[in-house]
Amino acid sequence: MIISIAGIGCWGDGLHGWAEAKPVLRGDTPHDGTSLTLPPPASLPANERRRASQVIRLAMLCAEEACQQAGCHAGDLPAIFASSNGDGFIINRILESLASPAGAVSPSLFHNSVHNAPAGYWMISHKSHQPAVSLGLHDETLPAALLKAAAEAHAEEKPVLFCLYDAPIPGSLGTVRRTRGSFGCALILTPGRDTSLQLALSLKNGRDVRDPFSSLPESLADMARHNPAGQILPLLQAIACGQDQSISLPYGANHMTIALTHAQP
Amino acid sequence: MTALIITAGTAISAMGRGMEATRTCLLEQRQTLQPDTFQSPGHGYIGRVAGVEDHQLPGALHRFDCRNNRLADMALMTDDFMEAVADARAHYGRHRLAVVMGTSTSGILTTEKAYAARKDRDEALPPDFPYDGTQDLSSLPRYVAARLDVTGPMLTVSNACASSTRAFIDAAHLLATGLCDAAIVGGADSLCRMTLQGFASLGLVSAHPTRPCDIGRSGISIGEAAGFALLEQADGRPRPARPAGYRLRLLGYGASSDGHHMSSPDPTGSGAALAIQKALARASLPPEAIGYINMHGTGTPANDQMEDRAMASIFGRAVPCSSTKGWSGHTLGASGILESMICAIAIQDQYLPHCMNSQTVDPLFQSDILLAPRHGKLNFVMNNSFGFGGTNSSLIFGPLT
Repeated sequence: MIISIAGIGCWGDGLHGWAEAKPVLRGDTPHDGTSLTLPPPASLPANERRRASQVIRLAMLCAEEACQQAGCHAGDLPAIFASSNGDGFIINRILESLASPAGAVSPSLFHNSVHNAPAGYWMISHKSHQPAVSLGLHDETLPAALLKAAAEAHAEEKPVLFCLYDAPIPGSLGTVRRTRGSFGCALILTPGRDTSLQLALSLKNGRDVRDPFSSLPESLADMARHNPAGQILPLLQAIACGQDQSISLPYGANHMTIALTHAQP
Repeated sequence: MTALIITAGTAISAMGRGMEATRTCLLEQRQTLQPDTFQSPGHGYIGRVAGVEDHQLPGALHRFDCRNNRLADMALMTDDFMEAVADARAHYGRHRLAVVMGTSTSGILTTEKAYAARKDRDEALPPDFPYDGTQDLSSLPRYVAARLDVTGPMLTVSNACASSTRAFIDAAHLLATGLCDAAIVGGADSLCRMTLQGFASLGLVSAHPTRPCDIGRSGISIGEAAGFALLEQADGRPRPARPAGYRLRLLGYGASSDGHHMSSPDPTGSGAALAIQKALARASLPPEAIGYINMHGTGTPANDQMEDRAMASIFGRAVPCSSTKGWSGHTLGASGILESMICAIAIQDQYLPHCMNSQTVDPLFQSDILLAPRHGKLNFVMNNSFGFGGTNSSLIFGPLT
C-alpha cells in the first residue's frame, strides 16, 4: 500500500518542532534530551489551554505543525490518533485517588482520562465534525496505527491526519511500564503517490531481526527503543537526510516494512 | 459500499450469556440491573455478569488473566463462535484474519487492586505485574488472537463509549484494502472502580435503574459486556453451512465528531446526525428504509435529548427507536457490539425491544420512542453509539438470507 507524506510535525524532549528537529536527526546538532514544559497549543480555546495536560499538548503541537506544513485546514481531515500509554499522568492520579480512603475521583481528570481525549480536544479546537479514532497497541502501536491510517486514507479516498505520541507514566505504574522521554510525530498522509515523500507499507509473516534504530544518534536511538512513538524516528531521520530508507517493525506474528522513497509525485 | 457480512456473532452481558439468553431476556422482559455491590459504598445500579469471578482462562494464556479477558473468554466460548472462526481460518488462512477490538478501560481493575495492595504511595508494583497482559490496550486483541489462533493485523480502538461501534468501521477499512479477508470485530468493557467512581463524580450515575428517554431519567447504570462478530466480504467464501443463527449484513457506517465538549454532547445533535446521515448515504438507503434504531440512549438528560434531536432531524417520527441499556446497563466501550447483536435478534425475531423501566417519554422528544415492545416487519436497523471526546458512530445492518 502506497501513501504520501504531505506534512510533518515533530515534538518531544530536545525536538521542538520539525525545523529544529531536522539538524538533530541528521547529527549536525547534538540532541539535548532535557524535558521541557511544552507550550499550550494555540488552537485550544483559552479556558482549555491552561488545563491541557502535557500529553494533550504534545499530540496537538504535532498535529498543528503537520497541518501548517501541509497547508491544509485542520477541520477538513479525518484523524487517526495513536498512543500506547495514553495520558499516564492522569491514569496514575486516578489510580492513586481510587486507592485513597475516600476513593473519589476528580470529574475533570476522569473525562480527560479517556484514550481519545487528545483527539477530542483536537476536534473541539477546530470545531471539526470529521471522524477521529484513537488507537493503542503497546510497543506495536506504530505499525498497527500507521497501517490503519493508510487503509483509511485509501478506503475513504481522502487525506488523513496521523498523530502518534507517547510519554512516560509516573508513579507506581511507571515502575512496570517504563517509557523514556516524551515524543510525538504527526503526518498528513494522502493515498497514492501525491507528494515526493512516498511510503510503501507491507506486512509479512515472521520477524525481521535487523535493528531498525542503529543509524540514530545514541540518545535518539534510546528514545526509539524505549518510547513506542519514538519508533518512527529512523523514518524521520531518513526524511531529514533526504535518503531512501526501509525499516521493519515487529507487529504480532508479523513485521511491517515501511519503505520510504523520494520520488516524483 | 461493498456489502460486508457477519457470519457469526455472540455477546454476553447482564442480560445473559450468549444470544439465546439475551433473546429470552428481551422477550420475557426480565429485570437484570441490580444494586451496585461491586464496590463499597456502591453507586446506583449495575449490570453485572454472573460467574466472571469463577471463570478460568486456559493455562497457557494465564498472563492475560483479568476480569476483562475473562468476560471476553466467556463470550468467545458461547454460540459456537470459536468453531465459526475455525471454519473461516481453515478457508482463508490464520494470517488473513484480523482482530479489531474496542475497549475503554481494558483490564485496569487489576491495576486498581495492585495500587490498593501497596503499603505506600508511589511504591513500585511487583516486577512481575502483568501490565501488558491486563491493563494495556493491547491485552484484549492479543488475548483474542491467541485464543482463536489467528495472526492477521491486530488493533485496539479506544474511543470511549463508541469504541466497539467504531471498531466495525476500522475493520471495514482493513477489509476494503485487502489487508485481511475476515475480521473478528467486537470488544469488552468490564466493571471497575475507575468507571463506577468516575461517572459518579460527574453526577451521571442514576440512583435508580436507568430509564432512557423517560421524563424522569436521572443518569446511567453502568454495565459490563463482551461480544464478537465475524465480519467478512460477502463473496469471500462459500457461505458456511451452519444454522442461520444471528447473521447480519453490514450495509453502512458513519462516523463524526461533535467538536463541542469533552464530556457533554452537542445539544443540537448535529454531530450525531452527521454520523447517521453518512451511514445512510453509504448504505444507499433513504431514512424511511430504517425499521428500528437501537439508540445510544444512556439515560442521562443530555445524551437522550441530543440523540432525539439528531434522530428527529432525519427520521421525524417515522422510525421506532429504543435504548436497551435499561436491560444491560451502559456497557461503555462494549455497548456497540452488544447492541449490534441485539439488532440481529430484532431482525431475526421481527421484534422491536422497548426502553426497559421507562414509563413516560420526555414530552420534548419528537422521535417514536418505544415504551412497549412491538412486533413489526423489520428489514434494516441502525445502531448508534456516542462517547466522551464527542465521538459518534452509526451502523446499519440488514438481514443475511
